[in-house]
Amino acid sequence: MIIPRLRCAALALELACVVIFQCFPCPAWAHVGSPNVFYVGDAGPYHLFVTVMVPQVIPGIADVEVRTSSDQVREVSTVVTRLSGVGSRYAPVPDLAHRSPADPRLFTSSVWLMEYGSLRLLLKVTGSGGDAELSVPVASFARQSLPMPRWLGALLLAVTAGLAVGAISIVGAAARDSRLSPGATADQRSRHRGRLAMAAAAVIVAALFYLAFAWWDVDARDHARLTRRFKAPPMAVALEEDSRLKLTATDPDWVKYRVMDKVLPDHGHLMHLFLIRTPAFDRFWHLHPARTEDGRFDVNLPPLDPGRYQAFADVVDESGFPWTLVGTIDLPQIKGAALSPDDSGGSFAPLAENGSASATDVLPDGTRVVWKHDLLEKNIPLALRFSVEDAGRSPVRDMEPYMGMAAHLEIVRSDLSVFAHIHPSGSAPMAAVMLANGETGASSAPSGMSMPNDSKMARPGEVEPELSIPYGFPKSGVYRIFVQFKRSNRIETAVFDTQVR
Amino acid sequence: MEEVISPAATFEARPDAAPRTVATVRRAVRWYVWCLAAAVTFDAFGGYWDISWHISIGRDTFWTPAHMMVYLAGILAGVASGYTILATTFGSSDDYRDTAVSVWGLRGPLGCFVAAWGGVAMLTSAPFDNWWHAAYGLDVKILSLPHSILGLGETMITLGTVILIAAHLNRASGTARAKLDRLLLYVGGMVVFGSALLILESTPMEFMHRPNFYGAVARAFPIALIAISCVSSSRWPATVMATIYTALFLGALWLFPLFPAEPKLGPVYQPITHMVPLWFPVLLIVPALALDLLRRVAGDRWGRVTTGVVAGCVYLAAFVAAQWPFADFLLSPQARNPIFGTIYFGYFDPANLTYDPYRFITQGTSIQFLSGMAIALLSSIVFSCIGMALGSWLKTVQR
Repeated sequence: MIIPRLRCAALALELACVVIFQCFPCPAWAHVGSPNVFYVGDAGPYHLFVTVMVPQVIPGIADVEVRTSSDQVREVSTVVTRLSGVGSRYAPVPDLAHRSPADPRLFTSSVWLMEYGSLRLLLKVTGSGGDAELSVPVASFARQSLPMPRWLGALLLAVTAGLAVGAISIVGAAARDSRLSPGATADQRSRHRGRLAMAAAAVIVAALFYLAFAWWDVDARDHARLTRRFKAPPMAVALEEDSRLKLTATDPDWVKYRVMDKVLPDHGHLMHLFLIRTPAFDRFWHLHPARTEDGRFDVNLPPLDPGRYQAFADVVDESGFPWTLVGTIDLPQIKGAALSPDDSGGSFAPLAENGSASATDVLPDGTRVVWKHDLLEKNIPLALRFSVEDAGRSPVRDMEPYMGMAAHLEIVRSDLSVFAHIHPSGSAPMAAVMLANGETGASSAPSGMSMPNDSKMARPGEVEPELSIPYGFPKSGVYRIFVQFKRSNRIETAVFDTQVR
Repeated sequence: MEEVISPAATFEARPDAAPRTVATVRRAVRWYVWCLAAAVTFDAFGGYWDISWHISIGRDTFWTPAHMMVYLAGILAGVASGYTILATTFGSSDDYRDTAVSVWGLRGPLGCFVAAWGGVAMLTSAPFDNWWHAAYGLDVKILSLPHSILGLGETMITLGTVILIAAHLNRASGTARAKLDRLLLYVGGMVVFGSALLILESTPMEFMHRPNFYGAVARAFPIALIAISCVSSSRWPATVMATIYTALFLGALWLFPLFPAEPKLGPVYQPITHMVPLWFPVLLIVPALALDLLRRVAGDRWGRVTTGVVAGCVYLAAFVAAQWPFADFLLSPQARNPIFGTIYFGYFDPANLTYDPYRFITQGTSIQFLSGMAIALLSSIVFSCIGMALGSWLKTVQR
């Protein structure tokens, strides 16, 4: 690939697009309709809850909120780099986050996301415990175009109409008067010449208006096309050999650039597949297909009831950018095979239409999962807190890491417009977190993640029954939340329905 | 400054002129001419500074000093022109009214109307550009629709200034004429300087063996070089304008790195510690010299559209002959120093990291190359002819 040398801002942005579409051509988001980043991790001795509200367009300003768990932190600064590779080596001048006068544990900042792709928000924290850093992966992409406010459209139309009439009149004056001697007045011939010039100018101005609107239309379409590239990419889901599910990315760019050949393992698996029977959400499966030689993925299904299933497939590309592929399939009764060790799922009650189900889910083995929450509102960052109890309502003591995490949560909106797969560390995929920290060597570890050589990891026997998962619901509506965890070598799935205002 | 000239002595009144005494022009260069010349200067320098700011620090806010300098140009041109129009319309000075044109019942110098229009267009582009960034992203490309309106406004301010000076020049004589002539060439140099900024996207050194590069140079400069040379009494007008552009670009190339700067936006691919200048100027001085020589040969035919055909061919041939081999040098290790400036890269430029910046990027097959060069030649001829037509009109402008 030839990349021209760029020395101006505009070309740099074009470069970003080139890099996106040729190096990792089809970035998407490991969630559907849930682009903001929620992350909990430790910067040295400081425990931080970081929220990144990503902008609608790129380049654009992301709002960063950092909440600390103690008063030790004096100062937080933020910078943006690429997640890995050459763009992660240098950092711009850090932006000092603003400390809230009302809440000294809350710091806010605004950072520019200048490029598409896998970026890293680097937090530099200063406090009584010394200086420390935390890297937060951020998937950067444009989501939509903003409409023009009516008042602005009316203002611009009025001014440009005035400019157009002014231009025609000035051309007329130039043709009529400009060559007259000082003090002379225009004769009939000059006036006629002026009128002819105005007519010609009117034609040219009309043509310019037409071309300008055509140009605008082209740019708007290009931007819309760019935005569409970041929608969840389609996936063909087919049943073969009675119980074998074949998954194929169908987007032409995915095929052309063989993206599936280069995905990174996340929690030890190249793909996390979620099958949800619609519309009741009463069957749910979390499976882990393997890659085949032809670049597709396949998996043996467990015993499944018939129905239409929505498939969400999470993968992470080689740059650390997360995507979710989507597809549907109508399945017959599947006799199926035994589940693989990390696979899980089962049958659940249908989705409560108003989302007002119980805050406690009692599992078949008597395990009780209690969700402690207040009123839920859209776009408000919060920690989803669950406690796992035994039948006697005592906290269980046999929790184990499930694929390296204390828990996995899958959040689905009733109309399937939102899907998120998150963990106690937040919404960023672990593969991206590893890339970010591998580049910096920062001694930060996300909450609840099983990583070697870190004292804060979840290890067998050390997973607490109190689960806390950071998230913010992107819009109001009815949601179903699947809470998955592991105890005594059994993978459990609890289900909660809720209404978000 | 206080030279007194009588316009009546500098031209023969037309038969249709009103039988009235022509007032005395009290100053060789009136205050609003200086204001417009200053606006053109602010616009050109602000443009260079703004691009350097983008590639050194990043455009983290609308309110950068460089942005302010560009918009100051629009405000200065608009206010000075607007005041002059109002003063001419409602004032009692015959000096002003006798050399005015009429638009919508308002009276003023034609150049002021054009420059005022440019100032309004520039200011109109600001909210449109702001919305554009919110809708489609910040500076996704230089040639966006709002930027084009901004550029059109800047062009009109420049054109208005040239018309204004040309009108004064055509009515002046003696030392006043010489002073206006120098001012015209200075503004012409600024026009060339600003034109070079407009074609930056097409003129990095690795593009210098591509037809697009020559096409951009063929479109950017001939109109100003030729049109102003039609009006100027200087023996070497095009050369002077090209020299001003070259000197300013070189001065910026050598001075900007002396000022410290750090990127405020990321990702950062180059460790920036100082302002990053734009690149070495193109060798415009060679075709400009060729145009001046052709002008001397053409004599009275200079200014005719037919002469533009020859001028277009001469201009492009001289430029290709000079720039093509010089591009080889620019990409060589000998040019990688602060003098020639091929060591400077913007903070967002992964030069030397993901690609080799010292290698020509060619364009298509040999047939595509030849057809591209033919288009460049055609552009050079067309824009030279436009320059001739504009210049011959400018030579007759009185108001």
